[in-house]
Amino acid sequence: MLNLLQESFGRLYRYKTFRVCLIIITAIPLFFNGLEKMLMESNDFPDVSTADDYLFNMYGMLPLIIAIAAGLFIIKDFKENTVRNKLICGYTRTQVYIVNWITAVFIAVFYHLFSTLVCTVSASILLEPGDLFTKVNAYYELISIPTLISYTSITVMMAMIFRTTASAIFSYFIHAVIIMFEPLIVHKVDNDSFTRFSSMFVPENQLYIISSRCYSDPTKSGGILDMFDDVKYAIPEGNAAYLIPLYALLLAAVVTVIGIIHFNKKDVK
Amino acid sequence: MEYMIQTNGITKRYGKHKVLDNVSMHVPKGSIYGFVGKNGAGKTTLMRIISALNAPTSGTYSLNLTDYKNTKINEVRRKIGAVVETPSIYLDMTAKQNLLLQYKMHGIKPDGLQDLLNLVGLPDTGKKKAKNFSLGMRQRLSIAFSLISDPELLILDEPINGLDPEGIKDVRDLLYKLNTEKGITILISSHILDELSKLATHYGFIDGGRMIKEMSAEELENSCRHSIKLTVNNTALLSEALDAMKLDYSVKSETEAEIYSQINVTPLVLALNEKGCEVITMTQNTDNLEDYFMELIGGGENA
Repeated sequence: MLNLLQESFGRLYRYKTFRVCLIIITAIPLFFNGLEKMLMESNDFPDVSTADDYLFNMYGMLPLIIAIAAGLFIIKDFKENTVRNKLICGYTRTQVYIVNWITAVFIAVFYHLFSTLVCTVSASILLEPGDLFTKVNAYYELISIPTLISYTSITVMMAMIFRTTASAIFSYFIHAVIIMFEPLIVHKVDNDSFTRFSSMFVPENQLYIISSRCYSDPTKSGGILDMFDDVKYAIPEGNAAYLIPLYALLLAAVVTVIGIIHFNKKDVK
Repeated sequence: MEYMIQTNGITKRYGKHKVLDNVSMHVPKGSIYGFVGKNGAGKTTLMRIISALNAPTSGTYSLNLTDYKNTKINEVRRKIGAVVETPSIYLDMTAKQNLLLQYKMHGIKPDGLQDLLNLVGLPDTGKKKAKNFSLGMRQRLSIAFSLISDPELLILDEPINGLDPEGIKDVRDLLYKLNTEKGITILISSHILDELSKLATHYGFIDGGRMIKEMSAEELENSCRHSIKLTVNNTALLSEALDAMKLDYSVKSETEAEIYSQINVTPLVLALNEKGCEVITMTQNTDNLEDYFMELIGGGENA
Protein backbone atom coordinates (compact mmCIF):
# COMPACT_ATOMS: atom_id res chain seq x y z
CA MET A 1 0.00 0.00 0.00
CA LEU A 2 2.98 2.27 0.53
CA ASN A 3 3.69 2.14 -3.20
CA LEU A 4 0.11 3.12 -3.94
CA LEU A 5 0.43 6.01 -1.52
CA GLN A 6 3.63 7.13 -3.25
CA GLU A 7 1.81 7.05 -6.58
CA SER A 8 -1.04 9.10 -5.15
CA PHE A 9 1.29 11.76 -3.76
CA GLY A 10 3.21 11.72 -7.02
CA ARG A 11 -0.03 12.63 -8.79
CA LEU A 12 -0.87 15.24 -6.16
CA TYR A 13 2.47 16.93 -6.76
CA ARG A 14 1.46 17.49 -10.39
CA TYR A 15 -2.16 18.35 -9.67
CA LYS A 16 -2.84 21.92 -10.79
CA THR A 17 -6.00 22.38 -8.74
CA PHE A 18 -4.03 21.68 -5.55
CA ARG A 19 -1.69 24.55 -6.35
CA VAL A 20 -4.49 26.87 -7.42
CA CYS A 21 -6.38 26.28 -4.15
CA LEU A 22 -3.16 26.88 -2.24
CA ILE A 23 -2.83 30.25 -3.96
CA ILE A 24 -6.44 31.08 -3.05
CA ILE A 25 -6.00 30.27 0.65
CA THR A 26 -2.85 32.39 0.65
CA ALA A 27 -4.32 35.33 -1.24
CA ILE A 28 -7.56 35.71 0.74
CA PRO A 29 -6.09 36.33 4.22
CA LEU A 30 -3.37 38.54 2.73
CA PHE A 31 -6.06 40.57 1.00
CA PHE A 32 -8.22 40.97 4.12
CA ASN A 33 -5.28 41.72 6.39
CA GLY A 34 -4.10 44.33 3.91
CA LEU A 35 -7.58 45.80 3.69
CA GLU A 36 -7.88 46.03 7.46
CA LYS A 37 -4.48 47.70 7.70
CA MET A 38 -5.63 50.32 5.16
CA LEU A 39 -8.84 50.94 7.08
CA MET A 40 -6.95 51.25 10.37
CA GLU A 41 -4.59 53.78 8.87
CA SER A 42 -7.49 55.77 7.51
CA ASN A 43 -8.95 55.91 11.05
CA ASP A 44 -12.26 54.48 9.77
CA PHE A 45 -11.63 51.27 11.67
CA PRO A 46 -10.50 52.14 15.20
CA ASP A 47 -10.49 48.57 16.60
CA VAL A 48 -7.19 46.81 16.01
CA SER A 49 -7.38 43.13 15.13
CA THR A 50 -4.54 40.90 16.19
CA ALA A 51 -2.97 37.78 14.72
CA ASP A 52 -4.76 35.89 17.47
CA ASP A 53 -8.11 37.00 16.00
CA TYR A 54 -7.09 35.66 12.57
CA LEU A 55 -6.02 32.22 13.77
CA PHE A 56 -9.10 30.44 12.40
CA ASN A 57 -10.07 32.99 9.80
CA MET A 58 -9.89 30.60 6.85
CA TYR A 59 -11.28 27.61 8.71
CA GLY A 60 -14.86 28.20 7.59
CA MET A 61 -13.81 28.16 3.94
CA LEU A 62 -11.80 24.98 4.17
CA PRO A 63 -14.66 22.50 3.59
CA LEU A 64 -15.34 24.08 0.20
CA ILE A 65 -11.64 24.10 -0.71
CA ILE A 66 -11.33 20.46 0.38
CA ALA A 67 -14.39 19.49 -1.68
CA ILE A 68 -12.81 21.09 -4.73
CA ALA A 69 -9.19 20.00 -4.27
CA ALA A 70 -9.53 16.59 -2.64
CA GLY A 71 -12.89 15.64 -4.11
CA LEU A 72 -11.95 16.44 -7.68
CA PHE A 73 -8.56 14.79 -7.22
CA ILE A 74 -10.29 11.50 -6.46
CA ILE A 75 -12.88 11.91 -9.21
CA LYS A 76 -10.15 12.57 -11.78
CA ASP A 77 -8.91 9.03 -11.20
CA PHE A 78 -12.34 7.70 -12.15
CA LYS A 79 -12.90 10.08 -15.05
CA GLU A 80 -9.61 9.09 -16.67
CA ASN A 81 -10.21 5.43 -15.74
CA THR A 82 -6.78 5.26 -14.15
CA VAL A 83 -8.29 3.71 -11.01
CA ARG A 84 -8.46 0.56 -13.13
CA ASN A 85 -4.68 0.25 -13.21
CA LYS A 86 -4.61 -0.10 -9.43
CA LEU A 87 -7.20 -2.85 -9.31
CA ILE A 88 -5.73 -4.73 -12.25
CA CYS A 89 -2.30 -4.93 -10.65
CA GLY A 90 -3.64 -6.41 -7.44
CA TYR A 91 -4.53 -3.62 -5.00
CA THR A 92 -7.78 -4.29 -3.19
CA ARG A 93 -10.62 -1.80 -3.32
CA THR A 94 -10.19 -1.18 0.40
CA GLN A 95 -6.56 -0.24 -0.15
CA VAL A 96 -7.48 2.10 -3.00
CA TYR A 97 -10.13 3.76 -0.82
CA ILE A 98 -7.84 4.16 2.17
CA VAL A 99 -5.05 5.67 0.06
CA ASN A 100 -7.52 8.16 -1.40
CA TRP A 101 -8.69 8.95 2.13
CA ILE A 102 -5.15 9.47 3.42
CA THR A 103 -4.31 11.73 0.47
CA ALA A 104 -7.49 13.75 0.97
CA VAL A 105 -6.84 14.14 4.72
CA PHE A 106 -3.31 15.26 3.93
CA ILE A 107 -4.69 17.90 1.56
CA ALA A 108 -7.14 19.10 4.25
CA VAL A 109 -4.63 19.24 7.09
CA PHE A 110 -1.96 20.81 4.88
CA TYR A 111 -4.33 23.53 3.72
CA HIS A 112 -5.45 24.20 7.29
CA LEU A 113 -1.95 24.47 8.72
CA PHE A 114 -0.74 26.50 5.76
CA SER A 115 -3.67 28.91 5.90
CA THR A 116 -3.27 29.27 9.67
CA LEU A 117 0.38 30.12 9.16
CA VAL A 118 -0.38 32.66 6.43
CA CYS A 119 -3.19 34.25 8.45
CA THR A 120 -1.18 34.64 11.65
CA VAL A 121 2.12 35.65 10.07
CA SER A 122 0.53 38.25 7.78
CA ALA A 123 -1.65 39.57 10.62
CA SER A 124 1.40 39.71 12.94
CA ILE A 125 3.27 41.76 10.36
CA LEU A 126 0.46 43.98 9.07
CA LEU A 127 -1.56 44.33 12.27
CA GLU A 128 -0.56 43.29 15.79
CA PRO A 129 0.74 39.90 16.99
CA GLY A 130 -1.65 39.44 19.94
CA ASP A 131 -1.50 36.42 22.21
CA LEU A 132 -1.20 33.38 19.95
CA PHE A 133 0.26 30.80 22.27
CA THR A 134 -2.56 30.25 24.72
CA LYS A 135 -4.16 27.11 26.09
CA VAL A 136 -7.45 27.98 24.35
CA ASN A 137 -5.78 28.37 20.95
CA ALA A 138 -3.86 25.13 21.41
CA TYR A 139 -7.04 23.27 22.28
CA TYR A 140 -8.97 24.54 19.28
CA GLU A 141 -6.04 23.96 16.95
CA LEU A 142 -5.97 20.37 18.18
CA ILE A 143 -9.68 19.68 17.74
CA SER A 144 -9.73 21.40 14.36
CA ILE A 145 -8.00 18.35 12.88
CA PRO A 146 -10.69 15.75 13.76
CA THR A 147 -13.40 18.07 12.38
CA LEU A 148 -11.47 18.49 9.16
CA ILE A 149 -11.06 14.73 8.98
CA SER A 150 -14.82 14.24 9.30
CA TYR A 151 -15.52 16.78 6.54
CA THR A 152 -12.88 15.17 4.36
CA SER A 153 -14.24 11.68 5.00
CA ILE A 154 -17.67 12.80 3.79
CA THR A 155 -16.11 14.31 0.66
CA VAL A 156 -14.14 11.12 -0.01
CA MET A 157 -17.22 8.94 0.47
CA MET A 158 -19.30 11.06 -1.93
CA ALA A 159 -16.51 11.13 -4.51
CA MET A 160 -15.89 7.36 -4.32
CA ILE A 161 -19.59 6.49 -4.48
CA PHE A 162 -20.85 8.89 -7.13
CA ARG A 163 -17.61 9.58 -9.04
CA THR A 164 -18.88 12.81 -10.60
CA THR A 165 -17.75 16.43 -10.30
CA ALA A 166 -21.18 17.35 -8.94
CA SER A 167 -20.82 14.90 -6.07
CA ALA A 168 -17.63 16.58 -4.84
CA ILE A 169 -19.36 19.96 -4.74
CA PHE A 170 -22.54 18.47 -3.30
CA SER A 171 -20.51 17.05 -0.42
CA TYR A 172 -19.96 20.66 0.63
CA PHE A 173 -23.54 21.85 0.16
CA ILE A 174 -24.96 18.91 2.06
CA HIS A 175 -23.66 20.53 5.24
CA ALA A 176 -25.48 23.76 4.43
CA VAL A 177 -28.68 21.79 3.93
CA ILE A 178 -28.25 19.93 7.21
CA ILE A 179 -27.56 23.08 9.21
CA MET A 180 -30.68 24.71 7.73
CA PHE A 181 -32.89 21.93 9.00
CA GLU A 182 -31.09 21.19 12.23
CA PRO A 183 -32.91 23.75 14.42
CA LEU A 184 -36.26 22.49 13.14
CA ILE A 185 -35.37 18.89 13.90
CA VAL A 186 -34.03 19.78 17.32
CA HIS A 187 -37.19 21.75 18.06
CA LYS A 188 -39.35 18.84 16.86
CA VAL A 189 -37.50 16.19 18.87
CA ASP A 190 -37.47 18.51 21.89
CA ASN A 191 -35.10 16.41 23.96
CA ASP A 192 -32.20 17.91 25.93
CA SER A 193 -29.82 15.02 25.27
CA PHE A 194 -30.52 15.14 21.56
CA THR A 195 -30.13 18.91 21.48
CA ARG A 196 -26.79 18.72 23.22
CA PHE A 197 -25.65 15.84 21.03
CA SER A 198 -26.65 17.66 17.84
CA SER A 199 -24.86 20.82 18.90
CA MET A 200 -21.59 18.88 19.15
CA PHE A 201 -22.03 16.22 16.46
CA VAL A 202 -23.19 18.11 13.36
CA PRO A 203 -20.03 19.02 11.42
CA GLU A 204 -21.21 22.52 10.60
CA ASN A 205 -21.73 23.22 14.33
CA GLN A 206 -18.22 21.94 15.01
CA LEU A 207 -16.97 24.30 12.33
CA TYR A 208 -18.61 27.27 14.05
CA ILE A 209 -17.35 26.20 17.47
CA ILE A 210 -13.77 26.07 16.23
CA SER A 211 -13.94 29.22 14.11
CA SER A 212 -15.43 31.23 16.98
CA ARG A 213 -13.50 29.39 19.69
CA CYS A 214 -16.50 29.25 21.97
CA TYR A 215 -19.25 26.85 22.91
CA SER A 216 -21.93 26.81 25.54
CA ASP A 217 -24.37 24.02 26.24
CA PRO A 218 -27.53 24.95 24.24
CA THR A 219 -29.73 23.33 26.86
CA LYS A 220 -28.39 25.85 29.38
CA SER A 221 -27.93 28.84 27.12
CA GLY A 222 -30.62 30.29 24.86
CA GLY A 223 -30.92 27.19 22.66
CA ILE A 224 -29.18 25.70 19.66
CA LEU A 225 -29.08 29.01 17.82
CA ASP A 226 -27.45 30.79 20.76
CA MET A 227 -24.61 28.37 21.50
CA PHE A 228 -21.94 30.98 20.83
CA ASP A 229 -23.40 34.05 22.49
CA ASP A 230 -22.36 33.65 26.10
CA VAL A 231 -18.65 32.87 25.91
CA LYS A 232 -15.65 34.42 24.24
CA TYR A 233 -12.61 32.30 23.38
CA ALA A 234 -12.87 29.52 25.94
CA ILE A 235 -12.47 25.76 26.04
CA PRO A 236 -15.90 24.08 26.21
CA GLU A 237 -16.89 23.08 29.71
CA GLY A 238 -17.27 19.55 31.01
CA ASN A 239 -17.21 16.57 28.69
CA ALA A 240 -17.93 18.75 25.63
CA ALA A 241 -14.18 19.41 25.47
CA TYR A 242 -13.46 15.82 24.42
CA LEU A 243 -16.87 14.87 22.99
CA ILE A 244 -16.61 17.32 20.10
CA PRO A 245 -13.46 15.78 18.61
CA LEU A 246 -14.66 12.29 19.50
CA TYR A 247 -17.91 12.77 17.58
CA ALA A 248 -15.91 14.09 14.62
CA LEU A 249 -13.72 10.99 14.56
CA LEU A 250 -16.75 8.75 15.00
CA LEU A 251 -18.49 10.36 12.02
CA ALA A 252 -15.30 10.03 9.98
CA ALA A 253 -15.06 6.33 10.84
CA VAL A 254 -18.71 5.60 10.05
CA VAL A 255 -18.77 7.34 6.66
CA THR A 256 -15.43 5.75 5.73
CA VAL A 257 -16.72 2.28 6.51
CA ILE A 258 -19.89 2.99 4.49
CA GLY A 259 -17.76 4.23 1.61
CA ILE A 260 -15.46 1.20 1.68
CA ILE A 261 -18.38 -1.25 1.75
CA HIS A 262 -20.06 0.51 -1.16
CA PHE A 263 -16.86 0.74 -3.22
CA ASN A 264 -16.18 -2.95 -2.70
CA LYS A 265 -19.56 -3.88 -4.14
CA LYS A 266 -19.69 -1.57 -7.14
CA ASP A 267 -18.25 -2.33 -10.57
CA VAL A 268 -15.54 0.00 -11.84
CA LYS A 269 -16.10 1.36 -15.33
CA MET B 1 -2.75 -29.20 -19.16
CA GLU B 2 -2.19 -26.15 -16.95
CA TYR B 3 -4.45 -23.20 -17.49
CA MET B 4 -3.40 -19.63 -16.86
CA ILE B 5 -7.05 -18.55 -16.85
CA GLN B 6 -9.92 -20.86 -16.09
CA THR B 7 -13.48 -19.70 -15.65
CA ASN B 8 -16.25 -21.97 -14.43
CA GLY B 9 -19.81 -21.01 -15.15
CA ILE B 10 -19.31 -17.26 -14.99
CA THR B 11 -22.60 -15.41 -15.19
CA LYS B 12 -23.01 -11.65 -15.10
CA ARG B 13 -26.32 -9.89 -14.82
CA TYR B 14 -27.20 -6.22 -14.87
CA GLY B 15 -30.70 -6.24 -13.44
CA LYS B 16 -32.69 -8.59 -15.63
CA HIS B 17 -30.22 -8.43 -18.50
CA LYS B 18 -27.81 -11.36 -18.63
CA VAL B 19 -24.55 -10.32 -20.25
CA LEU B 20 -22.65 -13.53 -19.59
CA ASP B 21 -24.34 -16.88 -19.27
CA ASN B 22 -22.47 -19.74 -17.67
CA VAL B 23 -19.20 -19.05 -19.47
CA SER B 24 -16.40 -21.52 -19.03
CA MET B 25 -13.08 -20.60 -20.59
CA HIS B 26 -9.72 -22.33 -20.56
CA VAL B 27 -6.63 -20.38 -21.51
CA PRO B 28 -3.60 -22.67 -21.59
CA LYS B 29 -0.36 -21.43 -20.10
CA GLY B 30 1.96 -20.04 -22.68
CA SER B 31 -0.74 -19.68 -25.33
CA ILE B 32 -2.03 -16.74 -27.29
CA TYR B 33 -5.77 -17.06 -26.86
CA GLY B 34 -7.85 -15.25 -29.44
CA PHE B 35 -11.20 -14.25 -28.04
CA VAL B 36 -13.68 -13.85 -30.88
CA GLY B 37 -17.22 -12.55 -30.82
CA LYS B 38 -19.61 -9.95 -32.19
CA ASN B 39 -20.14 -6.55 -30.63
CA GLY B 40 -21.99 -7.03 -27.37
CA ALA B 41 -21.19 -10.74 -27.19
CA GLY B 42 -19.62 -10.35 -23.73
CA LYS B 43 -15.88 -10.37 -24.46
CA THR B 44 -15.09 -7.13 -22.66
CA THR B 45 -17.34 -8.01 -19.72
CA LEU B 46 -15.51 -11.27 -19.18
CA MET B 47 -12.14 -9.56 -19.47
CA ARG B 48 -13.25 -6.97 -16.95
CA ILE B 49 -14.26 -9.70 -14.52
CA ILE B 50 -10.93 -11.46 -14.88
CA SER B 51 -9.16 -8.11 -14.40
CA ALA B 52 -10.99 -7.49 -11.09
CA LEU B 53 -12.88 -4.49 -12.41
CA ASN B 54 -16.24 -6.24 -12.16
CA ALA B 55 -17.47 -9.05 -9.96
CA PRO B 56 -19.29 -12.05 -11.43
CA THR B 57 -22.91 -12.54 -10.44
CA SER B 58 -22.15 -16.23 -10.10
CA GLY B 59 -19.43 -18.66 -11.07
CA THR B 60 -15.77 -18.73 -10.28
CA TYR B 61 -12.49 -18.21 -12.00
CA SER B 62 -8.85 -18.83 -11.30
CA LEU B 63 -5.69 -17.14 -12.46
CA ASN B 64 -2.50 -19.19 -12.58
CA LEU B 65 -4.23 -21.94 -10.57
CA THR B 66 -5.23 -19.48 -7.80
CA ASP B 67 -8.93 -19.04 -7.11
CA TYR B 68 -10.08 -15.43 -7.34
CA LYS B 69 -11.35 -15.46 -3.76
CA ASN B 70 -8.07 -16.76 -2.39
CA THR B 71 -6.12 -14.13 -0.44
CA LYS B 72 -3.08 -14.87 -2.59
CA ILE B 73 -4.85 -13.70 -5.75
CA ASN B 74 -3.45 -10.19 -5.31
CA GLU B 75 0.08 -11.53 -5.55
CA VAL B 76 -0.89 -13.27 -8.79
CA ARG B 77 -2.39 -10.02 -10.11
CA ARG B 78 0.92 -8.24 -9.60
CA LYS B 79 2.14 -10.29 -12.55
CA ILE B 80 -0.79 -9.46 -14.80
CA GLY B 81 -0.96 -6.65 -17.30
CA ALA B 82 -4.18 -5.58 -18.92
CA VAL B 83 -5.52 -3.09 -21.41
CA VAL B 84 -9.29 -3.15 -21.16
CA GLU B 85 -11.41 -0.94 -23.42
CA THR B 86 -10.15 2.63 -23.48
CA PRO B 87 -6.57 3.53 -22.56
CA SER B 88 -6.20 4.31 -18.83
CA ILE B 89 -3.53 6.97 -18.77
CA TYR B 90 -3.03 10.32 -17.02
CA LEU B 91 -3.94 12.84 -19.67
CA ASP B 92 -2.15 15.85 -18.22
CA MET B 93 1.19 14.07 -17.96
CA THR B 94 3.83 13.11 -20.50
CA ALA B 95 4.53 9.50 -21.45
CA LYS B 96 7.55 9.40 -19.13
CA GLN B 97 5.66 10.92 -16.21
CA ASN B 98 2.85 8.42 -16.73
CA LEU B 99 5.23 5.49 -16.69
CA LEU B 100 7.15 6.80 -13.68
CA LEU B 101 3.94 6.81 -11.67
CA GLN B 102 3.15 3.28 -12.79
CA TYR B 103 6.61 2.14 -11.77
CA LYS B 104 6.05 3.76 -8.37
CA MET B 105 2.72 2.00 -8.02
CA HIS B 106 4.31 -1.35 -8.76
CA GLY B 107 7.23 -0.63 -6.46
CA ILE B 108 9.69 -1.20 -9.30
CA LYS B 109 12.72 0.93 -10.16
CA PRO B 110 12.20 2.71 -13.50
CA ASP B 111 15.48 1.47 -14.98
CA GLY B 112 13.80 0.01 -18.04
CA LEU B 113 11.57 3.01 -18.73
CA GLN B 114 13.24 4.20 -21.95
CA ASP B 115 13.57 0.64 -23.26
CA LEU B 116 9.87 0.15 -22.66
CA LEU B 117 8.99 3.33 -24.51
CA ASN B 118 11.22 2.22 -27.41
CA LEU B 119 9.56 -1.20 -27.38
CA VAL B 120 6.05 0.21 -27.81
CA GLY B 121 7.10 2.75 -30.41
CA LEU B 122 7.06 5.91 -28.28
CA PRO B 123 10.79 6.63 -28.06
CA ASP B 124 10.65 10.40 -28.06
CA THR B 125 7.36 12.11 -27.19
CA GLY B 126 9.25 14.70 -25.12
CA LYS B 127 7.03 17.15 -23.25
CA LYS B 128 3.90 16.27 -25.16
CA LYS B 129 1.07 15.56 -22.75
CA ALA B 130 -0.99 12.41 -23.18
CA LYS B 131 -4.14 14.44 -23.84
CA ASN B 132 -2.47 15.55 -27.10
CA PHE B 133 -1.61 11.99 -28.15
CA SER B 134 -3.45 10.29 -30.98
CA LEU B 135 -5.54 7.24 -30.12
CA GLY B 136 -2.78 5.02 -31.42
CA MET B 137 -0.19 6.67 -29.19
CA ARG B 138 -2.46 6.36 -26.16
CA GLN B 139 -2.98 2.70 -26.99
CA ARG B 140 0.77 2.15 -27.19
CA LEU B 141 1.26 3.85 -23.84
CA SER B 142 -1.43 1.62 -22.33
CA ILE B 143 0.39 -1.42 -23.65
CA ALA B 144 3.57 -0.07 -22.05
CA PHE B 145 1.68 0.17 -18.73
CA SER B 146 0.71 -3.48 -19.00
CA LEU B 147 4.33 -4.55 -19.51
CA ILE B 148 5.89 -2.73 -16.55
CA SER B 149 5.63 -5.57 -14.05
CA ASP B 150 7.19 -8.10 -16.45
CA PRO B 151 3.88 -9.94 -16.52
CA GLU B 152 3.15 -13.63 -16.89
CA LEU B 153 -0.29 -12.89 -18.30
CA LEU B 154 -1.47 -10.14 -20.61
CA ILE B 155 -5.15 -9.36 -21.06
CA LEU B 156 -5.63 -7.20 -24.13
CA ASP B 157 -9.05 -5.99 -25.21
CA GLU B 158 -8.72 -4.86 -28.82
CA PRO B 159 -5.17 -3.57 -28.40
CA ILE B 160 -4.71 -2.67 -32.06
CA ASN B 161 -7.66 -0.27 -32.10
CA GLY B 162 -6.62 3.00 -33.60
CA LEU B 163 -3.23 1.79 -34.78
CA ASP B 164 -1.95 2.33 -38.31
CA PRO B 165 -0.82 -0.70 -40.35
CA GLU B 166 2.75 -0.25 -39.20
CA GLY B 167 1.60 -0.02 -35.62
CA ILE B 168 -0.52 -3.15 -35.98
CA LYS B 169 2.48 -5.04 -37.29
CA ASP B 170 4.65 -3.71 -34.46
CA VAL B 171 2.17 -4.83 -31.83
CA ARG B 172 1.76 -8.21 -33.50
CA ASP B 173 5.52 -8.71 -33.59
CA LEU B 174 5.82 -7.54 -29.99
CA LEU B 175 3.16 -9.92 -28.74
CA TYR B 176 4.64 -12.78 -30.70
CA LYS B 177 8.06 -12.02 -29.23
CA LEU B 178 6.71 -11.78 -25.68
CA ASN B 179 4.96 -15.10 -26.10
CA THR B 180 7.75 -17.06 -27.74
CA GLU B 181 10.74 -15.58 -25.88
CA LYS B 182 9.26 -14.97 -22.46
CA GLY B 183 6.44 -17.50 -22.44
CA ILE B 184 3.87 -14.85 -21.57
CA THR B 185 0.27 -16.04 -21.86
CA ILE B 186 -1.84 -13.62 -23.83
CA LEU B 187 -5.62 -13.28 -23.88
CA ILE B 188 -6.50 -11.02 -26.77
CA SER B 189 -9.74 -9.94 -28.32
CA SER B 190 -9.91 -8.21 -31.65
CA HIS B 191 -12.35 -7.39 -34.38
CA ILE B 192 -9.64 -7.72 -36.98
CA LEU B 193 -9.86 -11.49 -37.32
CA ASP B 194 -7.22 -11.60 -39.99
CA GLU B 195 -4.69 -10.20 -37.51
CA LEU B 196 -5.84 -12.54 -34.79
CA SER B 197 -5.41 -15.55 -37.02
CA LYS B 198 -1.74 -14.60 -37.52
CA LEU B 199 -1.10 -14.74 -33.80
CA ALA B 200 -3.44 -16.97 -31.89
CA THR B 201 -2.60 -20.48 -30.85
CA HIS B 202 -6.03 -21.03 -29.32
CA TYR B 203 -9.47 -19.56 -29.87
CA GLY B 204 -12.63 -19.00 -27.91
CA PHE B 205 -15.82 -18.08 -29.73
CA ILE B 206 -18.48 -16.27 -27.76
CA ASP B 207 -21.94 -15.21 -28.82
CA GLY B 208 -24.87 -13.80 -26.86
CA GLY B 209 -22.95 -14.16 -23.61
CA ARG B 210 -22.31 -17.86 -24.13
CA MET B 211 -19.08 -19.61 -25.00
CA ILE B 212 -19.86 -21.43 -28.23
CA LYS B 213 -16.60 -23.20 -28.81
CA GLU B 214 -12.97 -23.38 -27.76
CA MET B 215 -10.32 -24.88 -29.96
CA SER B 216 -6.67 -24.80 -30.78
CA ALA B 217 -5.35 -23.23 -33.97
CA GLU B 218 -4.59 -26.71 -35.26
CA GLU B 219 -8.16 -27.86 -34.68
CA LEU B 220 -9.41 -24.73 -36.43
CA GLU B 221 -7.16 -25.44 -39.39
CA ASN B 222 -8.58 -28.94 -39.65
CA SER B 223 -12.16 -27.69 -39.30
CA CYS B 224 -11.87 -25.05 -41.96
CA ARG B 225 -13.30 -26.10 -45.25
CA HIS B 226 -11.08 -26.62 -48.21
CA SER B 227 -12.60 -26.13 -51.63
CA ILE B 228 -11.85 -25.61 -55.26
CA LYS B 229 -13.29 -22.53 -56.96
CA LEU B 230 -14.13 -22.91 -60.60
CA THR B 231 -14.96 -20.27 -63.19
CA VAL B 232 -16.63 -21.91 -66.19
CA ASN B 233 -18.60 -20.81 -69.23
CA ASN B 234 -21.80 -22.53 -68.10
CA THR B 235 -22.55 -23.69 -64.55
CA ALA B 236 -25.60 -25.67 -65.73
CA LEU B 237 -23.32 -27.98 -67.66
CA LEU B 238 -20.93 -28.03 -64.70
CA SER B 239 -23.77 -29.07 -62.39
CA GLU B 240 -24.67 -32.01 -64.66
CA ALA B 241 -21.09 -33.25 -64.58
CA LEU B 242 -20.67 -32.80 -60.84
CA ASP B 243 -24.02 -34.48 -60.08
CA ALA B 244 -22.93 -37.45 -62.12
CA MET B 245 -19.68 -37.62 -60.13
CA LYS B 246 -21.65 -37.26 -56.87
CA LEU B 247 -19.56 -34.36 -55.64
CA ASP B 248 -20.51 -31.83 -52.97
CA TYR B 249 -20.64 -28.36 -54.51
CA SER B 250 -22.46 -25.03 -54.62
CA VAL B 251 -23.15 -22.72 -57.54
CA LYS B 252 -22.27 -19.09 -56.82
CA SER B 253 -23.30 -17.50 -60.11
CA GLU B 254 -23.84 -18.28 -63.80
CA THR B 255 -20.12 -18.82 -64.22
CA GLU B 256 -18.78 -19.62 -60.74
CA ALA B 257 -19.03 -22.63 -58.48
CA GLU B 258 -17.25 -24.14 -55.51
CA ILE B 259 -16.52 -27.83 -55.02
CA TYR B 260 -16.06 -29.07 -51.43
CA SER B 261 -15.38 -32.73 -52.02
CA GLN B 262 -11.93 -34.14 -52.49
CA ILE B 263 -11.34 -34.45 -56.23
CA ASN B 264 -8.83 -35.50 -58.81
CA VAL B 265 -8.45 -32.68 -61.28
CA THR B 266 -7.86 -34.75 -64.49
CA PRO B 267 -11.09 -36.84 -64.36
CA LEU B 268 -13.03 -33.67 -63.49
CA VAL B 269 -11.66 -31.70 -66.42
CA LEU B 270 -12.24 -34.63 -68.81
CA ALA B 271 -15.83 -35.00 -67.57
CA LEU B 272 -16.47 -31.28 -68.04
CA ASN B 273 -14.92 -31.39 -71.50
CA GLU B 274 -17.31 -34.20 -72.46
CA LYS B 275 -20.24 -31.98 -71.43
CA GLY B 276 -18.82 -29.09 -73.41
CA CYS B 277 -18.10 -27.08 -70.26
CA GLU B 278 -15.04 -24.86 -70.54
CA VAL B 279 -12.94 -24.33 -67.38
CA ILE B 280 -11.66 -20.75 -67.37
CA THR B 281 -9.98 -20.68 -63.93
CA MET B 282 -9.50 -23.11 -61.07
CA THR B 283 -8.17 -22.09 -57.62
CA GLN B 284 -7.77 -23.83 -54.29
CA ASN B 285 -9.49 -22.12 -51.36
CA THR B 286 -9.43 -22.59 -47.58
CA ASP B 287 -11.86 -20.97 -45.12
CA ASN B 288 -10.15 -18.46 -42.90
CA LEU B 289 -10.99 -17.51 -39.31
CA GLU B 290 -13.56 -15.01 -40.46
CA ASP B 291 -15.34 -17.59 -42.61
CA TYR B 292 -15.28 -20.11 -39.78
CA PHE B 293 -16.56 -17.51 -37.31
CA MET B 294 -19.38 -16.45 -39.64
CA GLU B 295 -20.46 -20.01 -40.08
CA LEU B 296 -20.24 -20.75 -36.35
CA ILE B 297 -22.09 -17.65 -35.20
CA GLY B 298 -24.32 -17.37 -38.23
CA GLY B 299 -25.75 -14.27 -39.87
CA GLY B 300 -24.18 -11.86 -42.26
CA GLU B 301 -23.07 -9.36 -39.59
CA ASN B 302 -19.41 -8.54 -39.13
CA ALA B 303 -17.62 -9.28 -35.81
